[in-house]
Amino acid sequence: MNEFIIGSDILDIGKRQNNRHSCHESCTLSAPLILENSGMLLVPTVKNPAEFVRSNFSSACGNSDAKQEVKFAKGTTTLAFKFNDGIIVSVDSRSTMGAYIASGTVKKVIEINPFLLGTMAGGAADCSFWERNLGTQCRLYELRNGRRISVASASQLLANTMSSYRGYGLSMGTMITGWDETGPQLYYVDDDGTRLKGKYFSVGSGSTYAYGVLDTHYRPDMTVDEAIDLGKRAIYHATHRDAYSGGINNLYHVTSDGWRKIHAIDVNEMHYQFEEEKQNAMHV
Amino acid sequence: MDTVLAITFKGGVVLAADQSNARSIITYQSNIDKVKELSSHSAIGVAGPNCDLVNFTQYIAKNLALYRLNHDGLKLSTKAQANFCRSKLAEALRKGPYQVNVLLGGYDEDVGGSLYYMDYLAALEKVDFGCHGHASSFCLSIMDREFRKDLDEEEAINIIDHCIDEIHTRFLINQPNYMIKVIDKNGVRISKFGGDPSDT
Repeated sequence: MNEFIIGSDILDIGKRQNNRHSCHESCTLSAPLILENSGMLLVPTVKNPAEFVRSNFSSACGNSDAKQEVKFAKGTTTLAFKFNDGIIVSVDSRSTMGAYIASGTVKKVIEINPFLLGTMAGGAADCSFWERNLGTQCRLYELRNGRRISVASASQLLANTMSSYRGYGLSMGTMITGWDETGPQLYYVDDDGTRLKGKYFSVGSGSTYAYGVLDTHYRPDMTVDEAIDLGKRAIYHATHRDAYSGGINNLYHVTSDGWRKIHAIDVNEMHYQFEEEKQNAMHV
Repeated sequence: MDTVLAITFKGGVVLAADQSNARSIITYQSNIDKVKELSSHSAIGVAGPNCDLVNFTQYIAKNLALYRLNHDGLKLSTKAQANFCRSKLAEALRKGPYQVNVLLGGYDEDVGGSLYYMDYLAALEKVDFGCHGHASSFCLSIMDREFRKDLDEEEAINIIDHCIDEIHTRFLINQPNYMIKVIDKNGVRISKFGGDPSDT
């Protein structure tokens, strides 16, 4: 009988001594890797923690995570773009576990501080924890230096964190955006330490669909209403085609006064509204 | 998927690299600058993940600047810089390797242009010309055919253009933009690029 059940190493930490005696011979357990005493971050007690996490907790699309005991939420569309009057951040709100929709109301925009926003794609725990941690670091910077942190520095702090946890199986694709002294800034930060500065990005399983609409209709000189419309439509089209995206479109606008939430519209309602628009356009 | 190309000519070195950053089927950006300045008369073309590209080149460049500050402005020769680079790659290899393949080019008064080829396993070799990436399968033969010891800058850039045209013709991955930099007695300067790195 195989007693080595995926997750037992992590969930039954207190009973590890007993488990070691009664464990199946083929299990190879090693001493837990304790990163720092104060944090006591324990990783799975297997020979290769990164590989273990990657194969059992990897955020996979479609059926490649079907055999996993613990399926992590994945599947999303997030986008953000800069234009002359600020930045639009637009996301969906669906969380899936394989073919099951776990939630339709996930908040994928994390409000780091009144001038910084972060989006969430990948592992929900990784995104929310590390972006919250980034918020802490930003606040400490403010207290120590007497001024607000720049978006470049904030994104660099997050990228450095991701870099130092390289190979530990974190999954996070985020956009850090805000308005600082140098104007509107948008950075893409990844779990493998990638940090890119750009005019617009889209992240997630539905990002290809969002890019289609975004690339075709993006102009830096859009009005605020046009920009909001573009952000809304790009997410709608992604949720229409991608099964792993859907729910509610949460849209934010970042200006020199900070971010402001514009709307939270159900994408199904948008569908009928856009259908009607097309019908009306045809009759004209 | 990155491509880095370099050719020495009489009086300097030409370094070129593609400008794309992509993951799975999506291109995130097409205006990345992968040829980073290390000092006034040397630059490094890097192929590898964005994280390692940035961390490694900044680490080397700042350490070279620190050396100058500690040693009364003494500039390291290209050969010394290349060996320093290699030693850092070798040190990190068994701890947390930098997954970068680099071509380091520089100009010295006494030697002229010189080019050093390094890979992620910390191998180092002085070469007349080199490429990294899948492009090397297509471009090395072009360089072998057309390279001569007494090239001038225009001819060297011409060979690079031939290589880029071949990549556009035959390579499966779309790499529309290339950044080309020249290092000569006047320092490091941009010759041409497809995408403006500051257009963000």
